[in-house]
Amino acid sequence: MHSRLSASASRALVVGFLVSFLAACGGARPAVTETAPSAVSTVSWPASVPDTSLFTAPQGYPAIELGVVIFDPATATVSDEAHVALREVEARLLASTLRDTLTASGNWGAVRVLPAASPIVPVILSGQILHSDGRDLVVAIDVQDASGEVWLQRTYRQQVGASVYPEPAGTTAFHDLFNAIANDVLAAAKGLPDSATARLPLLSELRYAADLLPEAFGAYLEESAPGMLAIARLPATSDPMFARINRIRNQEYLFVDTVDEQFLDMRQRLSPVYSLWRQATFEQAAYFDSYRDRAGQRELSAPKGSFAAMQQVYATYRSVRVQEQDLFELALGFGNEVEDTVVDTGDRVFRLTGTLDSQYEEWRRILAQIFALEMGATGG
Amino acid sequence: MGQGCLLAPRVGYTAGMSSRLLIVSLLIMPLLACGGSQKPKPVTFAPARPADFSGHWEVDYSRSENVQTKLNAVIREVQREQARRARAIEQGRSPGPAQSGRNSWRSIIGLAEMADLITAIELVEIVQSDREVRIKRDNSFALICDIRKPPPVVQMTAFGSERCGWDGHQLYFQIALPDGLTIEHRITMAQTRDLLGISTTVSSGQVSESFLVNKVYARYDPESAGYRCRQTLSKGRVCSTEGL
Repeated sequence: MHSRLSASASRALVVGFLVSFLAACGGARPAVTETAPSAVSTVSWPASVPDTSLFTAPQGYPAIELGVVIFDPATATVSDEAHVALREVEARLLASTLRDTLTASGNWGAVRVLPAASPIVPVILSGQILHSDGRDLVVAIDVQDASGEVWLQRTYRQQVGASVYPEPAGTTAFHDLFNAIANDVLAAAKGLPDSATARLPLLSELRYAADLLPEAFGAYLEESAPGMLAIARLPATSDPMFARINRIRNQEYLFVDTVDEQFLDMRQRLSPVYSLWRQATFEQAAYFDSYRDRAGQRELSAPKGSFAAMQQVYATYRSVRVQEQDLFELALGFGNEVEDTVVDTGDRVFRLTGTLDSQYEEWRRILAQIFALEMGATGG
Repeated sequence: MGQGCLLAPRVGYTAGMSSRLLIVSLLIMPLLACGGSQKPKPVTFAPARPADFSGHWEVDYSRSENVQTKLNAVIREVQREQARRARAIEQGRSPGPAQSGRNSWRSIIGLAEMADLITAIELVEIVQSDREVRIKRDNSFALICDIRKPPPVVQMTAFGSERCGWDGHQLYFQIALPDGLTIEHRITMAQTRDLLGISTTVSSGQVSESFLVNKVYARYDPESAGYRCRQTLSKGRVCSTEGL
């Protein structure tokens, strides 16, 4: 009872302080950033996923290939450079973890992590990190197939307790969340008619072809409903242009698989550090909770305006900020180096530099050039 | 010298100040304060004329104000006031209203002690990019300002808030904490780029005046100490003589 009163008194104090501060900030509208888990609005978060086992029993299902796009790090909500860098790394790690979970389920064909959405795969999973600390992971997941059918659009959240730390090597404390996503993707697929899923690989190939050469392949597709594509007709099996496009498509797979190897390497290097990071942020969130109780008691312990009272206020703020900044230093340790990607196509080796997005874009531009050259050479 | 000498108004540095002028200004600030103590003027965030504060800085005690000296002066003033009141009572005169409540001596001394605590920073490392200025202070938290955004840039937490931004050639920080405790820092670099002035004003909701402390920091080379420290994940801060 006492702690509840203390907490509410503390909250009132904090709210009052913030309101009076804002009132004093008249004039130009300031750029406001919120930090610290306690300042994050949790209103829109769903309930934490329950303990969830991954459905691994073979479903006798067509082996559809999936692409997991690197998560949107949503860095606009992040306050400083190191955390932006961390989020970007995290966006790759989480996509990679989801890929591993989907692969482990044994219910799919190849599951790849993609630098950006691409018609190269029949089904694309996109995610956005809404919140991530060692206690809560909240991600919005969107799954869409090549026809434009939305399989899944849902926000997932998992909250973990102290007992999950330290995380054993090679595991994630948030496995229930990834299992829940994988199970829901499977359930969504099972809810579709078999004929629809069976058409997806070909639909994906045609979308890829139409993307590369719309004048030749655009007519193979039709809009069956707003935003929905269907196969209008099929190219001849001996169509040399379609065969050439498939070769280009395989080259794009080569790039994606090369990047995938880099992801594996990155995960091996960063997973232990990332686990430390999660544990540290968990401890910080717990610290903030206990602070609320202490803040309530603080009001009672020293007369306002006395050195002791001011010292308590300042010391608390200082320790909170020091702890936040220790985490910043930890985040800096992640770095955000972007490795060059070297793609060996057999007759040529390409070195791509810059961010992964730009590398992917560059590679697709190179492929389009190769395709145009081939078309020119053959008079196509 | 009265209370007003010790509770100084904020005095900004002038543009293009040389290091000598900076030092002189720092020295005369307490004297200027005698002209009338008042609350710091609200910050106006004049058009930015950013300076590059990057580097390592150590406090130059010979050029900095000593809070203890100021505090001793407050205490002497308290003692004089108490003696004056005692004499008035002895002589059968009214001693006049005592310092109490909002501006009690205890509160004023408390504010001075806070200023001493807050400004007890010996080493400062400033990392500055186009995006932010990060002022790392030993044994305290870093002051961080996102300088891409127009001032004031406000960072709010449940425990307090910070406002910052360029105010002309000065970088201004305000930390607003519960119970009206407010800390303002103004950071200015001498034109010669070898001295940094950090002017700190501490005010409280319980005292109508604020307490100003001016510290001067001199640039130094951390590697001249013969070792280099770096933060590691597994061992914390590790210092080594290697690679120098």
